[in-house]
This record gives sequence, structure tokens and C-alpha cells, in this order.
Amino acid sequence: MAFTDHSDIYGAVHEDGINRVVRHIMRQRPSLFNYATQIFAQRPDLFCEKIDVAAEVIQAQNPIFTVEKPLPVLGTPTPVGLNFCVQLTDFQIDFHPANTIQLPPELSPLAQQRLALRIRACVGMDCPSDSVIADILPRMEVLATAEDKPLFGTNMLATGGLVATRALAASDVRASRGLVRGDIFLPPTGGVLDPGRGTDDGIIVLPTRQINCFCLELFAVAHFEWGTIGSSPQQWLKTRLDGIEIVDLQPTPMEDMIECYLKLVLRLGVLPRLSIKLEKMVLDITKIIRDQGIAFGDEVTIEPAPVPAGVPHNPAIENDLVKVFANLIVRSA
Amino acid sequence: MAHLTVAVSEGTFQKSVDALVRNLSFEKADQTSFGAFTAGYDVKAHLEGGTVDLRADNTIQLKELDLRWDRLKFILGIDIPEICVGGGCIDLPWPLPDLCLPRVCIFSDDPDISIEPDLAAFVAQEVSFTGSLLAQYHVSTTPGESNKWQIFIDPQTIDVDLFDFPDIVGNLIEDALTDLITALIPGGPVRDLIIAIIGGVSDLIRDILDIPDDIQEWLSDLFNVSFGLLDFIGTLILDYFASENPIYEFDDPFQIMEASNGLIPVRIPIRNLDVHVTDVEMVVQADVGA
Amino acid sequence: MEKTLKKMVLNRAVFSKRPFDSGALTVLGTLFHRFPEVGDYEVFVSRDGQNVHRTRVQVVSDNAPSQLNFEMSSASNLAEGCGCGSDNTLTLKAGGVVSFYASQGVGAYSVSVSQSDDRNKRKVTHLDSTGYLPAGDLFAVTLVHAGTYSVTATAGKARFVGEIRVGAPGGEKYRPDRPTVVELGKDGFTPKSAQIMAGQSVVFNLTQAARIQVELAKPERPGGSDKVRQTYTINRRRPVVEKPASPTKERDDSGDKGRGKGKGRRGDR
Repeated sequence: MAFTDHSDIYGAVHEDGINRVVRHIMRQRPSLFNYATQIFAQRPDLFCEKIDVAAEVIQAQNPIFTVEKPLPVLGTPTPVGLNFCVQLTDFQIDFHPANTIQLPPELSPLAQQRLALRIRACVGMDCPSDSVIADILPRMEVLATAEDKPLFGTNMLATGGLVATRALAASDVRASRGLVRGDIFLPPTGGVLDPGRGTDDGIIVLPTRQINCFCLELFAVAHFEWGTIGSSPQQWLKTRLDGIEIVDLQPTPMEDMIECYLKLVLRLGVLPRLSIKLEKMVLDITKIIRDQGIAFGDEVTIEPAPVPAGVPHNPAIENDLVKVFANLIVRSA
Repeated sequence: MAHLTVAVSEGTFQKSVDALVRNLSFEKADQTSFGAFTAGYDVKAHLEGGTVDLRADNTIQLKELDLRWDRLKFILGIDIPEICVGGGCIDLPWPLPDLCLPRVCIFSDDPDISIEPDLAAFVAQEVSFTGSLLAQYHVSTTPGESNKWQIFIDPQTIDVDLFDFPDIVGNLIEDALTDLITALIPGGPVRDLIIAIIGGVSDLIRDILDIPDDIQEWLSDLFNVSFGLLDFIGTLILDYFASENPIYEFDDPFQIMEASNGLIPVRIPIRNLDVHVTDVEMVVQADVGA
Repeated sequence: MEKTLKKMVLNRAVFSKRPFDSGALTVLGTLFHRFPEVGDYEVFVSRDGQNVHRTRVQVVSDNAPSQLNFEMSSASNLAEGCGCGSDNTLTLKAGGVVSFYASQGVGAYSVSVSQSDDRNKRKVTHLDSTGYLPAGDLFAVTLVHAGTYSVTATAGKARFVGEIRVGAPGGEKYRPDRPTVVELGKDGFTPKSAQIMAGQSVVFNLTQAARIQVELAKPERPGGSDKVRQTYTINRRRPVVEKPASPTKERDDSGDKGRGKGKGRRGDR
């Protein structure tokens, strides 16, 4: 049986290949898998896991993580935040049939036309020392008891707060030099995503000396589907999450809550950015036809083969492969 | 198992070949002196059509490619020999030496005529070849340009139809030459003399061009053998497919995600590329590099 | 189809119908003068009575060609404004000939050959082509018009006549470079009549001094004498015009009894 019995073009990627692809994406787009507050730009040693970065990222001065706002400390009279980081450190895919990832019972057995995901996620959060809290407490008390005073403006208290923040941050950098956690390096200029969302937009970020980390293993089941993005007719291979499970986390409501949150992170944050164009799945093999066609005024497009008229599943996940079936459409000028 | 497999049906492969074929055109002009005449050509051609046959022995056959002549100018220049009266030698009795008479020529110079008929409409040729597919790694020497994996059709031999001009072309050329030579010759009794000296315009043409038989066969020989045009066409098409124009190519590392918001594109290294054909499809397999 | 034709100039003098005269050499008439003795000779070429060229012919016993060709229409080192110089010497083997001919133009040329006699301090003239050509010289004419030519040789009081019939060229074996030799002796021309084809030459070999003239006496009709011109004639239909009755008496000797005595009758063509 030929690969192209039911379509013009056939493309398949083995799970070993896709795992290598994911590894390349993680090394070349680390900001997609690492999220942290601004302080990590100067203190990459604070990350829970060393970030493995491709040399091209350093050369291009691309960020190695996405900058997020500090985690707010609730109830403070003026916004106070904690430094934190979230890292997806391992990303493994197993196409049906499941034979490299042992799914937890909640997701087993892996259904046909599905893939299993195993993700290792590490979360780190600052826990300020008592001395830091003692230092800042008097100011909080003043702010908390002041009547009808604007929290920010030209008054000395507010100004004093910001100054104190900066001073504290500076002293913290000096103090924490002995706490380097590993050989993680920033790009020379320390580029960050969205610098406008730094820590100096009114939030007092408590100085960080060390990050407390924990890592957990996340299992997921997903499938692929074709779809357009925006108004372009271009077809993309999209990953859709079917289920997620964190192993051995108690109590169960907390597990559910964290799973829910991580599902949101994956669905809304990570996976949309991993969509791949149909042409890329077949190594741009129609590029020359398209380029030559343009010269002659032809419109050359590639479209997924119809399901089930053309093929039973498209894309198909079977035999440890993701398979795509496409047809070449040439509309002569 | 290979990490990546891409298969292309015979029909799609045909479309790829079509795209490649449509882009092949060439021009060439040359002239050669054959002593009494100069013959040359000024041609422009392109390829059209053709069918692809993928075969189970891992070869492909590209057949019935039409060689379309956009311009097939045949350039023929003739130096008409001197047309003279008198001359000749006489033997005189010994000891007198032989004596030769001077010749007096009818024209002040050797007449030259030339014609440039465009024979494109009269020639139909096909090209066919059998070859295999060849995966090659092209290392770029241009800064900023990626290396490439390229898949070529690698023809081993090529068959180009011989030029075979129809009778009408022979007549066309002969008539044109006759008209020109006739225009050179004044009317009246002078014409009779000149025609007698040259032995008739038609004979003169055949003598000068050294045409043993039909003029169209002579013309076909010129194009097939003397001009070396068939070798040129064959070599050009071989080179076009074999080394200059890949039927498929992609960069290595291969970009799977575009650059966005200042982030570099994501590229993956492609290794161990292999290409082969079955009787129904072309299959490309490769690994993703570490 | 693109056609190009290099413009050519027809040598019209070839086709002129002037008589040939050894005393006035024109295109297609050639004089061969023999130089039997070793020595230095002075040659003058005149055109229409004016000396236009002077040259020296050095006749040697060996190591020299036995024939030289001198084209007179391009020789002009004495012509006005030429400044061509006169120091040009031809070397010829004793017994050899120099042919004097004109390849183009309408000029009539003559040649004189003389030699200085140092002992007697005088100049010996060997040839003056305006008069008689000396015995041993040859005169050739190339005839391009078909027809019958009369040939006349004048030698003192003697006058000999001959004939050359020139046919229209044709046939596979025709070649213009096949001259015919006619001897001129004391008894006249041998043969008296020669037959050639247009474009070929007749060479008169003189065994006595003479002047030779050749003239087209009876040109052949263009297209060949044996060809009957075939024409297709269409008569214009004339309108019939009524004329008044003729006052002359009608003859009735035509034998056409059927014809009536109608008036104004015209031919029934």
C-alpha cells in the first residue's frame, strides 16, 4: 500500500522525531517554556532548573523567559509582590499506541488517534526572611494607618517606599551573590520580554535571596486537528488538549485546581504557539511548485485531504506517527 | 524508522516536473564557415509537456517532452564565385611556352547573399530521458544563506529527436536563394550568358552548398551534426535537471516556526536524507538531528 | 524571412557591342607581345592616345616567368596627378609573353615596346600596337554576344577576312575557359571560320605582322534564332459603328457567294 493512495502528498513524523523537534523548540524558544519575574533577568541562578538555550538565542539576544508580574501579597496597603518562576522543563510526546509514557490510570488507556504528553513543571517562589519583613513593616504600618492619603503621588511616604524598594533590591543583589544556584547565564544585555511589565510600575517587590522550588510531573492526552488562524486560509496543525493529570497531589480539590490552571496555561499559552503550518509538515515540498507557479500566474495551494471522503483520519495519530495527508491544488491563471 | 517521511504521488511529482520544465528555456546563436558558404543559427526554445513515469526499479522516465522553438533562425550566407568570361590556356608549338588568357569578370566583386528563414514552425521535436533521483547536500558559500538539501532528477542518458525538416523547408530555402541570385543577374542576353556560365541557379546553389540530394536533408545534417546543436540541447537539459535545478529543496536547518516579535525562527537540523521512488510515488525520508 | 544582398556593380563594358581592334585595345581584347631576346625594354601604355603608364620589362634568360599579365585599366603611373612613380620593372623569361588587357572601362588602349640601342644611340621600337602587330604576337578576343562576327586582318596591302560564329552558351559541357586558336599566315586565317560559344575566346596567332579587327556583323536574335515566340493574343472587342453606304463599287470577286451586298459590312471576326 502506497503512502499516497488517498492523497497527493503524505507526511509523517515519528514520535522520536517529534520529541527532538520539541527539544529544539524548547532550546530556541525558551521564553515559551519559562515564566518568571524581572529579577530572574539579573539572577538566572534563581531558576529552579537551569535553562538549556541554543547559542543562536544568545547571539540574537532573545529572552530566555517571559517576564511576569510579581505574585501579589494580599492585603498590603500598597501593592507588594513576590518573585516567582514557572518552568516547563521536560516535554515528551508518545503517539498512539502508548509505549514510552506510562499514563496514570485517570488517562489510561490512550485512545486511538490520541497522543500522550508528559510534562515536568517546576514552580519557584520567593519566601522573604523575617529580617526583610521587619525592615519593611514600619512603612506598611504608616501606610496602613494613614487617613485619606494617596498611596502614590508626591507625598514623601510613597516616594520613600519606591526608594526603599530600589535600595532593598540593590542590597539584595549584593547579599545574594553567595546564593548562585547554578551556571545559568543571561544574554549579555539581559533582554526580557515586555520590559514595560517590569517591577517598577508601582509594585514593591520584596527582595529575594532564594527561591523555594518544587517540581511535579504532569500527564496529558491530546490530539491534532487542522484549522486556520485569523483570516488567513493557511492551514495549521493545532494541538488540542483532551485531559490532564497531576500524579499524587493531595488534597484532590487542590490537585484539580492546579490541573485546571495548568490546563489553561497549556491551552491558552503554550500550545497555540506550537501550531505548525501544513507545508512544514511535508518539508515545504511544494515550495518550488508554488514559486514557479507564481512566475506563471498560477495559484498553488496545499490543503488537507478531506475526511472521511479522502482518508479516515487527517491528521492521523497511529503507529507512533503523526500522519498528514494533503492535496495540491493548482489553479491556472 | 526514519523520523520524517514525505511521500509525493506520481501525479504531484508530475506537477513538480511541469513547474521545472516550464522554466527551462534557452537561446543560442552561432555561425560556422564552410568555405563557399557560411551557415549558422539563432535559436530560442523552451520545453513543454512531457509525462513522468515512476518505475519500480527506482528510476523515473520523463518522456515526450516537447521541445518548442520560439525562434529557429537558419542563417545562410553564400559567397557566389566569380562569374567571368574568357580565360583558359592554349598550347603553342615548342619552343614557345603555353599561353593563358586573362579572365574578365562580370561583377566588380564577389556577390554575397544571405537568408535568415525562421524555421520554428516547421520543426517538432521531443526529448525523453531516464534517470534516478539524487539527494545532495549543498553547502552555501554565500554569507547569510542556509545550506540546502536538494533533490535532483539525475538523467543518465537523454534522447533528443533529430532535426527533420520537411520538404517545404527545402523548397523555401531554395526558392529564397534562387530569388536572390536571380536578382543579381541583369536581364536580356547577359542573363543567358551568366546563367550559362554558372550552369543554372539551382545547380549553382547545389554546387556551392555541396548538396548531394535534397536540400532539407542537407539542412537536417547541418543542424544534427555540423552545428552540434543536439549536443548542446542534450547537455543543457541534462545539466538543467542534474545539477542546476533541483526538483525539491529545503533549507538545513529547516525552519518550522517563523520569527516573531523579535524572536529567532525555530529551525531543526535535517539529517540522513534519502529519496527513492516506487512505481506510484516518490518517498523522501530523513531524521531530525540532535 | 530576412534576405540580404550585397550590392554589386555590373561590369557593363563586358557587354558592350563595340568592334575589337588590335590597334585600339578594349575590354575583352588581349594583346600578347612576345619578348624573344634578353634585354631591357621600355613599355608605354596609352589610353585614348595619351600615355598613362610606363614600365620596364627586363627579359632574362632564366629564373623568370614566361608569361606576365598587365592589366591596363588600373595602370596609370603617368596619368595626371597620379604620382605613382615609374620605377617598376617586370622580369620575364626570354621567349615569354606579356599580355596586355583591360578588365573594365570604356577606354581604348595601345601599347608600345621599345629598346635603346646604345651602339647606334637610337631607340628601336619592337611594338606599336596602333599599327601592325609583329609576327609572333597574338591577339585574343572574348566574345559574349551570340551572332556572326567578321574578322579582318590587314597586312600591308593584303587583307584577309574570316568569320567567327558565336552561339548562345548552354549545355552541361559549356566552359568559357576553352579558347580557340586561329592562325594568321600569308594565306590568311586558318581556319577561316571558327565556331565558339559566347563567353569563350578566339586567339589569333600571327605569323606575319598584321592588324586585326573583329566586328559583330550579324547578331543573333535574343532568345535564340531557332526559337519561335509563342504568344497568346486577345483581341479587343470593338464596338460596331454604323457607317454610311460606301460610294465605291463593291467588288464581288471574293467567291463568297453567301455574302450579300450589304452596306457597311465589316469582317466577321
